[in-house]
Amino acid sequence: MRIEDEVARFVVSPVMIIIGTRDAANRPNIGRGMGACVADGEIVEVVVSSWQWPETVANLRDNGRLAVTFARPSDYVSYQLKGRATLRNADPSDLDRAQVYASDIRAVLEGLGLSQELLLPWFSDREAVVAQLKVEEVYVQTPGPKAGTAVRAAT
Amino acid sequence: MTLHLRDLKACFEGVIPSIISTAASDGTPNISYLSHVVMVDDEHVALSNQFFAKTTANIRANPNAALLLVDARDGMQFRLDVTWARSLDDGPLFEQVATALRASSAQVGMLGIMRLKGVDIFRVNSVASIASMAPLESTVRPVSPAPDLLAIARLTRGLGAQTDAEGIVSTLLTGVSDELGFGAAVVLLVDENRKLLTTIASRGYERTGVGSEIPISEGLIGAAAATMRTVKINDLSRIRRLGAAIEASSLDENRTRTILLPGLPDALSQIAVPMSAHGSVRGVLFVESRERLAFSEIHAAALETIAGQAAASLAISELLASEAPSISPALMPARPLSRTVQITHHRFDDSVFIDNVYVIKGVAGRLLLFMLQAYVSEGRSEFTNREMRLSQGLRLPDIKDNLETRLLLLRRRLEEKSLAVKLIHTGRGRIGLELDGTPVIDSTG
Repeated sequence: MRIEDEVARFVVSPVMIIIGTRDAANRPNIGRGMGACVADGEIVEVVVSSWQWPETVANLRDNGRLAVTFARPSDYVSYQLKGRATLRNADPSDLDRAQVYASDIRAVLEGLGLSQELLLPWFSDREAVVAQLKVEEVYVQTPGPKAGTAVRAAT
Repeated sequence: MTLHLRDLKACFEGVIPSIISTAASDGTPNISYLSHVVMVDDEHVALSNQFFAKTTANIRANPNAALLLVDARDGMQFRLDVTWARSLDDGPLFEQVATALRASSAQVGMLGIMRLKGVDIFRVNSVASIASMAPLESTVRPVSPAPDLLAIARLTRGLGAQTDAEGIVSTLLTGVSDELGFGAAVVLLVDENRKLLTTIASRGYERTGVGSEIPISEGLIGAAAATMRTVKINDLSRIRRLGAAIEASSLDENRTRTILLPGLPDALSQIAVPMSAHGSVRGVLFVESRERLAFSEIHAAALETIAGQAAASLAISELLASEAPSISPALMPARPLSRTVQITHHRFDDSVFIDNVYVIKGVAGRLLLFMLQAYVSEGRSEFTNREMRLSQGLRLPDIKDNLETRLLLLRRRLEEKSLAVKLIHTGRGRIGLELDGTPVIDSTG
């Protein structure tokens, strides 16, 4: 499905990126993303450290099932994107984007009162790979009455 | 090294949001932030699941889930592999989570918006720490040292030695500061009839806020009184700016007849501890710190211990004060008082102004007026707890067990405003009135 402009703008802004996958036994796992971009209008690419999140990357390699929630720390506005992902190696432009993301999100979180030392363990681009998510479903995840409603499901 | 849940205490402070991942039976994963994770025991956690129907539906179809928790001191991350065990919608564990949720809701400025519907209990199968780029040397910053049991014993002994409300409240506040190292604290008294709490005394603030009021169930203080449980917040940075904005719009007491609660504009941690005795909450001890994570479970336990002792001592002092013998009316000091002290009483809220300065309203206002009227009509300057308790005119059925504490509040308020009327503690169950002038009482609607 084509990603709406509002969602596309949101996922590339400095927001927290959390990644849900599951293994062959359908046991869920959690990872964090280091920045995202939108390719071809229907694929979201997320940088993931396979050093920090080896289970997440192994799950994606195994079955590709992926859910990514993008959450703005200042007001908890969140979108969850779901679909199937393929992995590719990160190239220098991905690593540059990850660095820009890291510095932007740190500035946002620091502005909200979180110290730099506290944030240090959360972000890594070591042994980075890129998950290319072909988006099938988009949900509003902001806490409140609209939480969990579909923006638009795959047709 | 095998990690245990008990090693992760700083992850359960509700400071850094946790994350939960689930998977539907068709293998579609789901991931979201979570409002609160509470440690039940070393093998179980409880989650409040407020908003996300998908997570709830998934765990019922596939009980496996993963949680990511963050240590609020150093940012270290831990993954818990968990299995859903059961749901609860009442009972002590439900109440425990409800209280924790209230604190975390206050933290994100959503107090009262998030109502707990149910609690999900998960068995923890394993705990794993997540690799980190942070330097190996610990980035943990020192938090407040754990209180010493000897210091708590000293403080408890000190409270037990006090015989009046003044001594008990002063010893409590001094002890919280000198023995436990928390310089900013407030003692509030519960007013069951008006469903609010009134500040009796405070320490470590620019203004004491004596006489200020907060509704029961509002904020941390109200939540502690309403639930009889300790409620704490260990990172206020997110709502600090909001607090500062409120602080800035300082109210004019004389115009609004409202006294502002004392508060540190830059507090990062707060704890409200119920002062319970004889099965009911008599007040709340509220303590603040400029440090993040200032109040561990050990600090909470220490504060609960001394708050309980103070509450019991206050209850006994009220009881003994009511038995103080009556006194023969003392005559006004025979000295020429040329100056007039203007007393204004507004019947609709029992507010009292002295020389156009707002003093107090409600029951404390009636008490002050009662003494001033007896001073004018009978020339009396000394009163007993017993006579005030028995006075029909005072309409005091609601304060029979906290009259002493109310008189203490009134005395402190008068002292603070440096008015021409003062109250003096003259012995157990007795109070003296001292005026710097001749009172003229004007009662209006």
